[in-house]
Amino acid sequence: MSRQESSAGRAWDSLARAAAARESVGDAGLLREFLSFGLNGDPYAIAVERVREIVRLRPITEIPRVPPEILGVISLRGEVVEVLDLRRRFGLPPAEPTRATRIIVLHGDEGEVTGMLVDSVTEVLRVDEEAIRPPPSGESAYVSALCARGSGFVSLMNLEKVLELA
Amino acid sequence: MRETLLLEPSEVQRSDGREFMTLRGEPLALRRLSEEFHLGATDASAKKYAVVLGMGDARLGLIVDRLEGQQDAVIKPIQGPVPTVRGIAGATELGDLGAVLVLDVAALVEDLARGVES
Repeated sequence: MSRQESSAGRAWDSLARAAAARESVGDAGLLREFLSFGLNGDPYAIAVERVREIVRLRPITEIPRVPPEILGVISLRGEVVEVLDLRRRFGLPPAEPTRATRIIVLHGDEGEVTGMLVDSVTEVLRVDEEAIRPPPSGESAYVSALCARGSGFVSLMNLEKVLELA
Repeated sequence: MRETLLLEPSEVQRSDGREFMTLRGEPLALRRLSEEFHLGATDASAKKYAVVLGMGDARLGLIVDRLEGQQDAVIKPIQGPVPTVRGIAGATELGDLGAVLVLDVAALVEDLARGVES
Protein backbone atom coordinates (compact mmCIF):
# COMPACT_ATOMS: atom_id res chain seq x y z
CA MET A 1 0.00 0.00 0.00
CA SER A 2 2.77 2.41 0.88
CA ARG A 3 4.33 1.87 -2.51
CA GLN A 4 1.13 2.81 -4.29
CA GLU A 5 0.73 5.91 -2.16
CA SER A 6 4.28 7.07 -2.80
CA SER A 7 4.01 6.34 -6.51
CA ALA A 8 0.83 8.40 -6.75
CA GLY A 9 2.87 11.49 -6.05
CA ARG A 10 5.06 10.77 -9.06
CA ALA A 11 2.21 10.12 -11.45
CA TRP A 12 1.59 12.20 -14.49
CA ASP A 13 0.02 15.55 -13.66
CA SER A 14 -3.15 15.11 -15.60
CA LEU A 15 -3.53 11.62 -14.21
CA ALA A 16 -3.41 13.06 -10.72
CA ARG A 17 -5.99 15.63 -11.64
CA ALA A 18 -8.15 12.94 -13.18
CA ALA A 19 -7.82 10.83 -10.06
CA ALA A 20 -8.95 13.72 -7.92
CA ALA A 21 -12.03 14.07 -10.08
CA ARG A 22 -12.72 10.33 -10.13
CA GLU A 23 -16.19 9.12 -9.17
CA SER A 24 -17.59 12.52 -10.02
CA VAL A 25 -21.12 12.38 -11.32
CA GLY A 26 -21.93 14.30 -14.48
CA ASP A 27 -25.33 15.41 -15.67
CA ALA A 28 -25.91 12.22 -17.60
CA GLY A 29 -24.58 9.66 -15.10
CA LEU A 30 -21.43 8.16 -13.63
CA LEU A 31 -18.21 9.22 -15.30
CA ARG A 32 -15.29 6.81 -15.58
CA GLU A 33 -11.73 7.74 -16.47
CA PHE A 34 -9.54 6.05 -19.02
CA LEU A 35 -6.05 6.73 -20.28
CA SER A 36 -6.08 6.63 -24.06
CA PHE A 37 -3.09 5.70 -26.19
CA GLY A 38 -2.30 5.02 -29.83
CA LEU A 39 -1.30 1.71 -31.33
CA ASN A 40 -0.76 1.25 -35.07
CA GLY A 41 -2.94 4.29 -35.75
CA ASP A 42 -5.88 3.13 -33.64
CA PRO A 43 -7.05 4.52 -30.29
CA TYR A 44 -7.13 2.26 -27.22
CA ALA A 45 -7.75 3.00 -23.56
CA ILE A 46 -7.35 1.49 -20.10
CA ALA A 47 -8.80 2.44 -16.72
CA VAL A 48 -6.67 5.15 -15.09
CA GLU A 49 -6.74 3.20 -11.82
CA ARG A 50 -4.38 0.69 -13.40
CA VAL A 51 -1.82 3.33 -14.45
CA ARG A 52 1.00 4.05 -12.04
CA GLU A 53 3.08 6.28 -14.30
CA ILE A 54 4.09 6.95 -17.87
CA VAL A 55 7.76 7.01 -18.84
CA ARG A 56 9.72 7.66 -22.01
CA LEU A 57 11.43 4.80 -23.79
CA ARG A 58 14.63 3.83 -22.00
CA PRO A 59 17.20 1.06 -22.51
CA ILE A 60 15.52 -2.33 -22.38
CA THR A 61 17.59 -5.35 -21.29
CA GLU A 62 16.48 -8.50 -23.10
CA ILE A 63 15.67 -11.53 -20.98
CA PRO A 64 16.02 -15.11 -22.18
CA ARG A 65 13.41 -17.86 -21.84
CA VAL A 66 10.36 -15.59 -21.91
CA PRO A 67 7.56 -15.28 -24.49
CA PRO A 68 8.54 -13.02 -27.43
CA GLU A 69 5.96 -10.42 -26.37
CA ILE A 70 8.19 -9.59 -23.41
CA LEU A 71 10.83 -7.21 -24.79
CA GLY A 72 12.91 -7.31 -21.63
CA VAL A 73 13.25 -5.34 -18.44
CA ILE A 74 13.78 -1.68 -17.58
CA SER A 75 15.16 -0.20 -14.45
CA LEU A 76 12.75 2.17 -12.75
CA ARG A 77 14.27 3.91 -9.74
CA GLY A 78 15.78 0.64 -8.57
CA GLU A 79 12.80 -1.54 -9.51
CA VAL A 80 13.23 -4.02 -12.35
CA VAL A 81 10.09 -4.16 -14.47
CA GLU A 82 9.24 -6.25 -17.54
CA VAL A 83 8.07 -4.46 -20.67
CA LEU A 84 5.35 -5.98 -22.83
CA ASP A 85 5.37 -5.07 -26.53
CA LEU A 86 1.71 -4.39 -27.18
CA ARG A 87 2.17 -4.42 -30.97
CA ARG A 88 3.61 -7.91 -30.80
CA ARG A 89 0.91 -9.00 -28.36
CA PHE A 90 -1.77 -7.85 -30.81
CA GLY A 91 -0.01 -9.40 -33.81
CA LEU A 92 0.62 -5.96 -35.34
CA PRO A 93 3.65 -5.16 -37.52
CA PRO A 94 6.70 -3.88 -35.62
CA ALA A 95 7.49 -0.17 -35.72
CA GLU A 96 10.57 1.90 -34.99
CA PRO A 97 10.25 3.88 -31.77
CA THR A 98 9.53 7.59 -32.18
CA ARG A 99 9.63 10.63 -29.90
CA ALA A 100 6.05 9.79 -28.95
CA THR A 101 6.78 6.19 -27.87
CA ARG A 102 5.96 5.62 -24.21
CA ILE A 103 6.02 2.88 -21.60
CA ILE A 104 2.83 2.82 -19.53
CA VAL A 105 3.67 1.40 -16.11
CA LEU A 106 0.69 -0.50 -14.75
CA HIS A 107 -0.03 -1.65 -11.27
CA GLY A 108 -2.56 -4.19 -10.12
CA ASP A 109 -4.55 -4.84 -6.96
CA GLU A 110 -1.72 -6.89 -5.45
CA GLY A 111 0.89 -4.23 -6.22
CA GLU A 112 2.21 -6.16 -9.22
CA VAL A 113 3.91 -3.91 -11.76
CA THR A 114 4.26 -4.26 -15.55
CA GLY A 115 5.47 -1.99 -18.32
CA MET A 116 3.57 -1.77 -21.61
CA LEU A 117 5.13 -0.28 -24.75
CA VAL A 118 2.73 1.84 -26.84
CA ASP A 119 3.15 4.18 -29.83
CA SER A 120 1.91 7.24 -27.96
CA VAL A 121 -0.12 8.33 -24.96
CA THR A 122 -2.98 10.60 -25.91
CA GLU A 123 -5.11 11.89 -23.03
CA VAL A 124 -7.31 11.03 -20.08
CA LEU A 125 -10.87 10.42 -21.21
CA ARG A 126 -13.79 11.05 -18.91
CA VAL A 127 -16.46 8.78 -20.22
CA ASP A 128 -20.14 8.63 -19.38
CA GLU A 129 -21.06 4.99 -18.83
CA GLU A 130 -23.91 5.55 -21.29
CA ALA A 131 -21.30 5.95 -24.04
CA ILE A 132 -19.78 2.48 -23.51
CA ARG A 133 -20.78 -0.16 -26.05
CA PRO A 134 -20.10 -3.88 -26.34
CA PRO A 135 -17.29 -4.73 -28.76
CA PRO A 136 -18.27 -5.44 -32.39
CA SER A 137 -18.64 -9.11 -33.21
CA GLY A 138 -15.42 -10.88 -34.08
CA GLU A 139 -13.39 -8.53 -31.90
CA SER A 140 -10.42 -10.08 -30.16
CA ALA A 141 -10.49 -11.11 -26.53
CA TYR A 142 -8.18 -8.20 -25.80
CA VAL A 143 -10.96 -5.61 -26.19
CA SER A 144 -13.75 -5.61 -23.63
CA ALA A 145 -15.81 -2.66 -24.91
CA LEU A 146 -15.86 0.42 -27.09
CA CYS A 147 -16.45 3.95 -25.99
CA ALA A 148 -17.70 6.74 -28.21
CA ARG A 149 -15.17 9.48 -28.84
CA GLY A 150 -15.79 12.19 -31.41
CA SER A 151 -16.98 10.56 -34.62
CA GLY A 152 -15.49 7.15 -33.77
CA PHE A 153 -14.81 4.75 -30.95
CA VAL A 154 -11.93 4.01 -28.62
CA SER A 155 -11.26 0.34 -27.80
CA LEU A 156 -11.23 -0.36 -24.07
CA MET A 157 -8.55 -2.94 -23.47
CA ASN A 158 -9.07 -6.06 -21.37
CA LEU A 159 -5.85 -5.81 -19.38
CA GLU A 160 -6.27 -9.14 -17.61
CA LYS A 161 -6.31 -10.97 -20.95
CA VAL A 162 -3.49 -8.90 -22.40
CA LEU A 163 -1.24 -9.58 -19.41
CA GLU A 164 -2.08 -13.28 -19.32
CA LEU A 165 1.19 -14.74 -20.62
CA ALA A 166 1.78 -18.34 -19.65
CA MET B 1 32.05 -18.07 -9.20
CA ARG B 2 35.50 -19.64 -8.75
CA GLU B 3 37.63 -18.00 -11.43
CA THR B 4 37.61 -16.66 -14.97
CA LEU B 5 39.70 -17.92 -17.88
CA LEU B 6 40.55 -16.68 -21.34
CA LEU B 7 39.47 -19.45 -23.70
CA GLU B 8 41.00 -20.11 -27.11
CA PRO B 9 38.69 -22.01 -29.49
CA SER B 10 41.37 -24.71 -29.78
CA GLU B 11 41.13 -25.50 -26.05
CA VAL B 12 37.53 -26.71 -26.41
CA GLN B 13 37.21 -30.49 -26.80
CA ARG B 14 34.11 -32.56 -27.49
CA SER B 15 32.96 -35.85 -26.04
CA ASP B 16 29.63 -37.34 -27.11
CA GLY B 17 28.51 -33.93 -28.32
CA ARG B 18 29.27 -32.18 -25.03
CA GLU B 19 32.03 -29.62 -24.83
CA PHE B 20 34.71 -29.59 -22.17
CA MET B 21 38.20 -28.29 -21.54
CA THR B 22 41.18 -29.36 -19.49
CA LEU B 23 41.73 -27.27 -16.38
CA ARG B 24 44.79 -28.13 -14.28
CA GLY B 25 44.73 -31.71 -15.50
CA GLU B 26 40.99 -32.28 -14.89
CA PRO B 27 38.10 -32.15 -17.38
CA LEU B 28 35.76 -29.20 -16.93
CA ALA B 29 32.33 -29.33 -18.56
CA LEU B 30 31.56 -26.26 -20.66
CA ARG B 31 28.24 -24.71 -21.55
CA ARG B 32 27.71 -21.74 -23.85
CA LEU B 33 25.44 -19.15 -22.26
CA SER B 34 24.29 -18.02 -25.72
CA GLU B 35 22.97 -21.52 -26.39
CA GLU B 36 21.47 -21.99 -22.92
CA PHE B 37 19.45 -18.84 -23.47
CA HIS B 38 18.85 -19.34 -27.22
CA LEU B 39 20.44 -16.03 -28.11
CA GLY B 40 21.62 -17.09 -31.55
CA ALA B 41 25.06 -18.13 -32.71
CA THR B 42 28.10 -16.06 -31.86
CA ASP B 43 31.43 -16.08 -33.70
CA ALA B 44 32.76 -19.60 -32.95
CA SER B 45 36.33 -18.73 -34.01
CA ALA B 46 36.60 -15.75 -31.64
CA LYS B 47 38.32 -15.84 -28.29
CA LYS B 48 35.87 -16.34 -25.45
CA TYR B 49 35.94 -16.34 -21.71
CA ALA B 50 35.04 -19.17 -19.38
CA VAL B 51 33.55 -18.32 -16.01
CA VAL B 52 34.12 -21.27 -13.72
CA LEU B 53 31.11 -21.82 -11.47
CA GLY B 54 30.92 -24.19 -8.55
CA MET B 55 28.15 -25.46 -6.31
CA GLY B 56 29.35 -28.11 -3.89
CA ASP B 57 31.33 -30.66 -5.88
CA ALA B 58 29.73 -29.73 -9.21
CA ARG B 59 31.75 -27.48 -11.46
CA LEU B 60 30.83 -25.86 -14.73
CA GLY B 61 32.60 -23.56 -17.17
CA LEU B 62 30.19 -21.04 -18.61
CA ILE B 63 31.36 -19.64 -21.95
CA VAL B 64 30.63 -15.94 -22.45
CA ASP B 65 31.67 -13.39 -25.08
CA ARG B 66 33.41 -10.97 -22.74
CA LEU B 67 33.81 -9.89 -19.15
CA GLU B 68 32.68 -6.40 -18.12
CA GLY B 69 33.97 -6.21 -14.58
CA GLN B 70 33.26 -7.24 -11.05
CA GLN B 71 31.06 -5.47 -8.57
CA ASP B 72 28.81 -5.96 -5.58
CA ALA B 73 25.15 -5.45 -6.31
CA VAL B 74 21.77 -5.85 -4.71
CA ILE B 75 19.64 -8.36 -6.62
CA LYS B 76 16.15 -7.08 -7.30
CA PRO B 77 13.26 -9.34 -8.24
CA ILE B 78 11.90 -9.01 -11.78
CA GLN B 79 8.33 -7.70 -11.79
CA GLY B 80 5.94 -8.45 -14.62
CA PRO B 81 3.74 -11.09 -16.25
CA VAL B 82 6.59 -13.63 -16.36
CA PRO B 83 8.49 -12.97 -13.13
CA THR B 84 10.31 -16.29 -12.75
CA VAL B 85 12.80 -17.34 -15.40
CA ARG B 86 14.86 -20.50 -14.87
CA GLY B 87 18.53 -19.52 -14.63
CA ILE B 88 17.89 -15.85 -13.82
CA ALA B 89 17.99 -14.86 -10.15
CA GLY B 90 16.89 -11.27 -10.75
CA ALA B 91 18.45 -8.06 -11.97
CA THR B 92 20.32 -5.07 -10.73
CA GLU B 93 20.83 -1.52 -11.91
CA LEU B 94 24.29 -0.62 -13.11
CA GLY B 95 24.49 3.04 -14.07
CA ASP B 96 24.52 3.54 -17.85
CA LEU B 97 23.88 -0.13 -18.57
CA GLY B 98 20.37 0.07 -17.12
CA ALA B 99 19.06 -3.24 -15.82
CA VAL B 100 21.63 -6.05 -15.76
CA LEU B 101 20.43 -9.63 -15.33
CA VAL B 102 21.92 -11.73 -12.55
CA LEU B 103 22.35 -15.43 -13.25
CA ASP B 104 21.07 -18.08 -10.87
CA VAL B 105 24.29 -20.07 -10.62
CA ALA B 106 22.72 -22.81 -8.49
CA ALA B 107 20.02 -23.46 -11.11
CA LEU B 108 22.48 -23.42 -14.03
CA VAL B 109 24.88 -25.85 -12.36
CA GLU B 110 22.00 -28.06 -11.23
CA ASP B 111 20.58 -28.20 -14.76
CA LEU B 112 23.96 -29.29 -16.10
CA ALA B 113 24.37 -31.93 -13.43
CA ARG B 114 21.00 -33.41 -14.38
CA GLY B 115 21.73 -33.04 -18.07
CA VAL B 116 18.69 -30.85 -18.62
CA GLU B 117 18.42 -29.39 -22.10
CA SER B 118 16.41 -26.20 -22.20
